[in-house]
Amino acid sequence: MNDKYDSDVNEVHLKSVIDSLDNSIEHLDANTLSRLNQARHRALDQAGKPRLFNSQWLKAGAFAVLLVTVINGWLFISTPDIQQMDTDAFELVVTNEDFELLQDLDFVAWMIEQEHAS
Amino acid sequence: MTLENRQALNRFLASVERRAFRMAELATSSPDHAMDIVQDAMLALVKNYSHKSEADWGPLFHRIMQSKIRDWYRRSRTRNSVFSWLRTAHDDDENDSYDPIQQAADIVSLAPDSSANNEQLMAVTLQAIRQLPLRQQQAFLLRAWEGFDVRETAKAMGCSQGSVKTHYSRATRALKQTLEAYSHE
Repeated sequence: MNDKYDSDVNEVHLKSVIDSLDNSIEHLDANTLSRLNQARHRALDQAGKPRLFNSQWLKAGAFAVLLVTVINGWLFISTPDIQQMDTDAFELVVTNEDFELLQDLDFVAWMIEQEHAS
Repeated sequence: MTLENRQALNRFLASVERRAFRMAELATSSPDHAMDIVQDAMLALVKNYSHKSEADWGPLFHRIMQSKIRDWYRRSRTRNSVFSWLRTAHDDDENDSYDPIQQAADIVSLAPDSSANNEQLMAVTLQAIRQLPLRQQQAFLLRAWEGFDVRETAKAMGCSQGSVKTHYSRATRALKQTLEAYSHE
């Protein structure tokens, strides 16, 4: 019973609020109506204009950027052998150990001859 | 865009613009800001969704509107918090005596045959809605005035259906209390 009463009261209040809201837009002043009209026509005029970045160009651009990134990545991954080789050669030239190895080549050659002889 | 499509969009926007303006005005308490929000929403709909079916325009338009209102609200809060320290004691005194009902812009010109009671009730009702927290206001206007169901309201507001129910319930309770207090005066 109380629930029904509350519900009816709520309905009355709700209807009153909705009526007030409806009244408020029925009697908007002329200036506001004119500005709304202008805003609508401005928006509609924009629809006819080509978009600077339409979705097809945007997709094409994104695909191009992705492609360039993938190619760069692939090139970067595929080149380290050469880079590694260059680094090894450079180390071979500059490190002291390798100079010592080159100086003892005669000793290495003698050891190989001994192995063959035995 | 074809002529038919343009005409359909024109009809649609003309049918929603007044309500949209009122919703934005209730949220911002500023006719100028409300007009900016409505215009931005119209532009966004026309630019991005004019190719969609007419049945989709309503929910999309209201989703854009609510999003624009939320953006405005966030910007407004940030601006207020940044510049609050600049306010002088004199300004604070003025704010203390600020009466939103007195200061509200007169953008309603009532018909000559409207009774003073109706005019007063409308002013009280609009002010009561204005004073609701933004989310309650949005939930109430979309559910009760636009006639959206809970799911559609949740989609437009970008929140869960449970939140919509909570906000709507609190809003109707607050409005009921305000109107009861007014009717007892």
